[in-house]
Amino acid sequence: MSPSNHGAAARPGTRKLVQGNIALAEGAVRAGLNCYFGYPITPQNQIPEYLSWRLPETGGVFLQAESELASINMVLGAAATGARVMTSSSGPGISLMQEGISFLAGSQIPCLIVDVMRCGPGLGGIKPTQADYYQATRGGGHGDYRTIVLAPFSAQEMFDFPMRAFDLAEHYRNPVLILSDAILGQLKEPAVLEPAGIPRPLPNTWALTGAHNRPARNLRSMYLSGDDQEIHNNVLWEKYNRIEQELPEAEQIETDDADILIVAFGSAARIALSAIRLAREEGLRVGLFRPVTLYPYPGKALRELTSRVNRVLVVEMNMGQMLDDVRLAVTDEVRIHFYGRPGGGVPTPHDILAKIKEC
Amino acid sequence: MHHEWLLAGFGGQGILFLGDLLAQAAMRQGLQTTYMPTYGVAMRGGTANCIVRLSDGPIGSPLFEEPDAAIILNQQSFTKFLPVLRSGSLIIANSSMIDAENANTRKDVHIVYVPATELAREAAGTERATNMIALGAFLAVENTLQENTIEQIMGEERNPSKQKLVQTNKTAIQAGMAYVHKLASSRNGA
Repeated sequence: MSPSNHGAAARPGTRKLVQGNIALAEGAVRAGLNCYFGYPITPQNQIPEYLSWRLPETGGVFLQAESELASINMVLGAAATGARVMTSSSGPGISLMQEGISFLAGSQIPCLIVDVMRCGPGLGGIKPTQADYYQATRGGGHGDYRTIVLAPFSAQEMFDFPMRAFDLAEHYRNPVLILSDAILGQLKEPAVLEPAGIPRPLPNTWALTGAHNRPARNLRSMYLSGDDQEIHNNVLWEKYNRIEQELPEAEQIETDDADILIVAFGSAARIALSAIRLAREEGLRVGLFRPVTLYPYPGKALRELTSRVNRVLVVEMNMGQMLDDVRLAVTDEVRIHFYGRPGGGVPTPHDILAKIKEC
Repeated sequence: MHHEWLLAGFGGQGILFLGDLLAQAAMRQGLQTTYMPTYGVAMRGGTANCIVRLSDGPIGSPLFEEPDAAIILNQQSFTKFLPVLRSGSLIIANSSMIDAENANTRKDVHIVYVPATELAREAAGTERATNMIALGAFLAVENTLQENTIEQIMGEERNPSKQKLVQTNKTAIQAGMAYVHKLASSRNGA
C-alpha cells in the first residue's frame, strides 16, 4: 500500500515511538512556541502535561488557566504581541472558547487552537469522534468568519502540523485549528521528531510591540462608524477567498485504478485504509481521498477525481458533516453513499467493507 | 505480514508498559507498528488492555479488531477476550490468576498456561515482574520479535533508580522463556 506509514518511514532521521498528543506538543515547541494557555480535559491532557515542563526549558511560558474562557483570552492577549501562542482542548472546552475564537478571527490575530475531539453532545464521553467538524469548519462562534482547519491522521502529522499551522496563521493573520481526535491523541506510533521546516518570521507590520518610534497600532474586531464593519468584513472575505484558492490540500491513496472512492479524514481515514486493504484482497478496486485541509475544503480536486470515479463512499465518525462539503464539491452524476457512526461509536474496517459492497 | 496483539490484565500489572515495549521492539526491528491503549478510565484494580500492531507495510486502523495473539494476565480479561480472538491465535495465559482447568471452551486456539505471578515471585523476587514472565513465555513461542531487541531497549535505561528493575525484568524474561522451553521438552519427551 502506498505511500509509507504516514510520513515517518520516508523521512530521514531517527524514528521514535511517540504518542500523538506528545508529538503535537513537541511539534509546537520545535515550531518556536512562546506561550501555552489551557485548561485540562481528556483526551488531550498529555499536551499540557508535556508542555508544563518542556516549554519552560526553551524559555517559553506555560500557564494553566482557571477556565477555557480565560485560556482563549490569554491566547488573544499574548498573540496580539506577535508571539507564537497556542491552546488545546476537547469538544466541551472548544465550545467555551468560541467567543474568543470569533474575536481572534475578527481582529486577525494568528494563533494555534487544537481540538482533540471526544464524543458529545454535552459533556459526552471520552471516546473518539469527528462530530466537531461543523464547529471547526463553519466558524463556530458568531459572525461570518473562518478558521483554517488542518486534519492530521498520524503521529508524524501531529508533529508536523503545528509548524505548518503557525506559518499559515502568520501568513494569513488568521487562527488555525488542528482537528485531531481521541484515537490520534492516544495512539503511539513511530515518527521522526525533527523539524519538517524552519519557522519563517514575517516582517512585523501589525503586532502590538510598543509604539516606540512608530505610529500606534490597534487590533480590534469592533467597527461602529459608517460602513466600517462591512468594509472590514470584505477585507476578511478577500482573505478567505485567497485561502480557498491557495490552501486546499488532499492526499490520494490508490486512486489510480479505483472504481470506488472513499472520502474520509483523520482517524476515519486510517480505518478506511484497513477497509481498502480488505476490499483489494477481494478484488475490489477502492481508493482513498483524504482531505488534509478541512477549511478550505479540497473540493476542486475531489470534483476532478470524481469525474472519473463516480461511486463515492463518505465515511465519518459523525452522522454526516463533511458529507455536506462532498455534496457541494461533486456533480449530480456522482453517486454518494454515506457511512457514519455517531459519538461513542467507531466504525471497524469490516463495517466499511460491507458498505463498500453496497456502493 | 500483519499482526494484531492483545495485551490485557488488571491495571497495575504492567500491561501498558508491556505494550509500549513490544511496539518499541517492533520499530527497532524495522517494522511498522502502532500501540493503542485503553485510556482515561484505566486505574489500579480495574482492567487495562492495549492493542499492538506490527506490519511490514503501512498500518491503517490501530484499533482492536480481531487479535491473532494475546498475553492475558487475569481471569476477567481472559473470559472477556477469549471468544473474540482469531482462530489459530496464540494465547499466553497467566494460570496464577486464570482457571486453566475450566477456562478453554475453544479448540481452535493455542493456549500456553504459565503461572506467571508465582514464577515472578520465585524467579525475580517480585510479583511486579508477572508481565515480564509472560513476555518471556510469549517470546519463546512467537518469533516475530527477538529477545535481543527487548534486552537492547531495556539496556538503554539511564535512570539509576530503574536500572535495578531492568535486571529484575531481564531475569523474569529468561525465567518465562525457560518455563516454556521446559514445558515443550517435557511434552516432546512424553
